[in-house]
Amino acid sequence: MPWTLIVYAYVASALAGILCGSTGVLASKLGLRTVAFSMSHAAMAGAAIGLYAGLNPEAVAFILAAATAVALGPLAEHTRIHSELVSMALFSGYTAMAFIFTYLSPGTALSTRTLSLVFWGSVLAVTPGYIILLLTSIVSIALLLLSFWPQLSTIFFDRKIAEAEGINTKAYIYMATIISGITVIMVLKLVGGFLVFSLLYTPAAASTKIGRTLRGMIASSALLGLLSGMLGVTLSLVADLPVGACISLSSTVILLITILKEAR
Amino acid sequence: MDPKHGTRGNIRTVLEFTDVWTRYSGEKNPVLRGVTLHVEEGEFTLITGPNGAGKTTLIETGIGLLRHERGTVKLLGLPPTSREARLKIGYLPQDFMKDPYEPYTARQVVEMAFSSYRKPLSNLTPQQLEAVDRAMSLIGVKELAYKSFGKLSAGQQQKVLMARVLARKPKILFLDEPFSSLDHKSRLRLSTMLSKLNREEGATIIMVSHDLSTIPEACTRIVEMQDGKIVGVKRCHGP
Repeated sequence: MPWTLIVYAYVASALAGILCGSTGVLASKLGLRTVAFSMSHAAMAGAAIGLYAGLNPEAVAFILAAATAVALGPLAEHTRIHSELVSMALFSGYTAMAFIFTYLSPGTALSTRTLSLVFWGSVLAVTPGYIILLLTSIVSIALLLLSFWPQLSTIFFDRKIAEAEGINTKAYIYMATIISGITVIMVLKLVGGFLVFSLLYTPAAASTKIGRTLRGMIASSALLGLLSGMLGVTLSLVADLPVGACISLSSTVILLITILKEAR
Repeated sequence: MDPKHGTRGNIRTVLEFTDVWTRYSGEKNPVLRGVTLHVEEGEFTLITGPNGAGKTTLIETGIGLLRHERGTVKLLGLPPTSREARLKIGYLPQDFMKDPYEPYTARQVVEMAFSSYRKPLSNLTPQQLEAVDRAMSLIGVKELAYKSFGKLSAGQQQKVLMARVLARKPKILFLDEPFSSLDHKSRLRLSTMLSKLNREEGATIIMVSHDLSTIPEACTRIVEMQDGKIVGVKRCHGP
């Protein structure tokens, strides 16, 4: 493998880890844990639909995942069903669609590069443009978090009180849903739809054992995400295994270490 | 009466319920059933009744956390979901208990009182910081300032939230069972403080309590609820 590709893989996995780690804390604090499931599976369904219909699978994957991110909040509001439940219902529907359209796709759909990218992720998908996109996402999300930190931390603490005190909680929840959606879409190529949520929530879970303040939790989750990404790429390169699975495994090992460290 | 501003002569109606019905999503039976209640500025109203009478639902409908399906609710002459109205209220929820791993100190929780006023990237003003200090001293939780909120006892958490309500200097206080986790001494202290707040600063107080063993001195009337209806209104003290 060319060394430039290796460098790109390390940089992208580190950035994806930071992005997922920080967004994971945000999503879990706001009760948006299942959003990642519906979004990643929307992308998988989109890729399968693209293949079946002869459209650009990546573009359809992106459109369906982005549409899910935007529609989820209003959908939950309109149906008066909790967003977590709406999200899980969509997740099941998208999984079914992904399987059906893959099955119906002409030829060897499962072996196509695009479908495997969306399903399993690959370091081969990393380009300088992708790294710039990841970096832009991190900077944009960091700016949003910094700008609205008082309102967000108040909602994290208690949504009901925040709403009663005049904070437009719905707007912030929608914003967080869209941020989670962007994160999932951005990281999908590297980690794959089946495992993207492990990079979102495993560092977030480990950060609860390390961070004493909310800022500390976000920072430590981002750092653990970065570590998971770097370790995962190393394992993937050394053992010639799929990168998404290796990153996911690394984050699980890191979580276990933090739990054991706390137990001692 | 001026319907827009909810005024009657010099008296202003700050909370207005007219034939209000509220039902929880997916429930067959409404919790509030045709409630009509007017609270005037400066009043201290105690809402009482057995469990399931609709006391908390009344408060949550009044501040727009629950949507009513029939009738009219006005908070400071505005819809209860209006930001303008909500910026002028303080709300203490019932049975509030956070898990021990909540990553906030008690002081951070009180400082959240001002989050709804803050502009992006702004810090708390010196006046707001002073209001936080004053409210924490008044409630007697200043020594808990840098302790983890989640690790405080239920009574201490309730006091910290009460300090948060007071820091905002609200025009109307909606307090849902504020004495429920407090010991006798703390109840008396809070009761005296609420009376003082009502009499000296003219704050309107709407307080839910199923326990009438501690009725604040300034309380003006008791509204009794049962099965989602108001079944009686009487004076707090005297005949």
